[in-house]
Amino acid sequence: MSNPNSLLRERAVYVVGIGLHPYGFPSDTPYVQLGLHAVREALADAGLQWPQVRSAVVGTAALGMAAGRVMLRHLGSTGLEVMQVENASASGSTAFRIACLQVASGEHDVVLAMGVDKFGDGRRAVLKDGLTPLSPTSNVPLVKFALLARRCMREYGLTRQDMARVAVKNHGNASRNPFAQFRKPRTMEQVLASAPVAGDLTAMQCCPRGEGAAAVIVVSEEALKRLGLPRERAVRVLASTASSEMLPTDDAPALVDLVRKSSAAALAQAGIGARDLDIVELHDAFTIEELLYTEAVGVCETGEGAAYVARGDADIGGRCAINPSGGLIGMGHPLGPTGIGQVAEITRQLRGEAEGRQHPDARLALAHMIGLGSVAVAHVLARA
Amino acid sequence: MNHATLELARCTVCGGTSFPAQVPGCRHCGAPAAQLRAEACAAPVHLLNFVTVHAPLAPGLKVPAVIGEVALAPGLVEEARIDVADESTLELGMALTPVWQPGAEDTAGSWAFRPMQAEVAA
Repeated sequence: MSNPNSLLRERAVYVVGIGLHPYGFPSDTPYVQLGLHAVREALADAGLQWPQVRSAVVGTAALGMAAGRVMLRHLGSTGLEVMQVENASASGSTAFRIACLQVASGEHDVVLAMGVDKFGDGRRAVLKDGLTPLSPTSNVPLVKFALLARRCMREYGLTRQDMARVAVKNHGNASRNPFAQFRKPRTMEQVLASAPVAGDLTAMQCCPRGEGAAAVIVVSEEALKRLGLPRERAVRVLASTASSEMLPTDDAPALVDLVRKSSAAALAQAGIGARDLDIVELHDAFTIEELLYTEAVGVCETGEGAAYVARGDADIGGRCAINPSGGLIGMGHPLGPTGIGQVAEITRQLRGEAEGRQHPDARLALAHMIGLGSVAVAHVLARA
Repeated sequence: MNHATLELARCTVCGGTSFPAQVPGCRHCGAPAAQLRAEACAAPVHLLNFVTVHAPLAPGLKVPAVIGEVALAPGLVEEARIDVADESTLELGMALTPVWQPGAEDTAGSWAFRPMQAEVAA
């Protein structure tokens, strides 16, 4: 885990620009157009010109080699540093982390972090490791989480309705998000009646396949002043941590333990507690994840996740809004952009600019992402 | 892979187990393959959890399929295909035995697990 006394505590890093291409179902639109749309929007939002950006970190999981420069050359060949990052579902979050650390280290003072993806062929390195798994589903996250959901139902009394309620909330939030892949509110009956996929999970409790792009621009304190950027629209990055799964040491699922430890490390680095958070964007690829991770982050007690959602505490306007963007289930999960999209949503919320879905008086937020393997990347952001 | 016997890897350094037997290192202590030895999985194994998969989520997976979690050794839990018509015949903790199922023509075979009584009947 990361040192609580991180570079981000010593040298302030701010998000000053955000941009998105709406997430959508697979289309014929080239990734370059998706990505450039998001970057141009982020530049305009920040009030910056492309030559002022000194480094670009591009998160993508499915595009293949050298996606960054091929896309960014259409903005002008300024000679900036360009790097491509792949870290499964956490590719965008990892790109954001590297961008923040580049600024905090003093290497660059204006850095773009972006994610872009098209739905690919689904090939994963784990399928090339030369080992034959016992089950053809061994590397299929959906089956892993269906099994985990069944275990939670049996051991903790979780119900199908408890899980479906997460989908109802997140589809509802997404219906108010113009960048979301799904834009229709759904009822409990619709969620439960949608096609069965695995175990007790139905189609509307699972994130969709899709594409899109998201971009954010981070700057140093010095750049904020030198470039005359408005401090009231800047969002400070208080913490950045990254880690990976360990073998379970007790009965807790290893992935839940990873979320618990990684979010605790990020909160410690930020110097705040979980109950201080106003907003959490987290990896709800499947409904069971949101319930378990809300508890693991510490927003509520272990075993209270379902009641937390049922009471409306996880709603926009509740105690801590969980996935106000609609999350992966509602907003979508195009892989590379997802983690950057979380940061963009949080920035919009902390600025008070989330029209139609604004969580009142939001000051502190956590962006937490999981990637296949499993890896975890967490960031804490605060109104500047 | 020895298809006559389902094997796992036992680490001679730390005693931990990994699957499959051909892993390039111990998942517990990182000992290299030279310090791992193949060991037959002790049958029966016990069923820890199961669900029915309704969507074709993996190549070669015919649905509906019952996928379970089985303990191949203490602390070594793996997903496995359970060879039953539907999950209503299963009970947690029931004894299972691994069965090698040859693939059709050009496709590879795979392991599945059957309830012990069904295996006897078959």
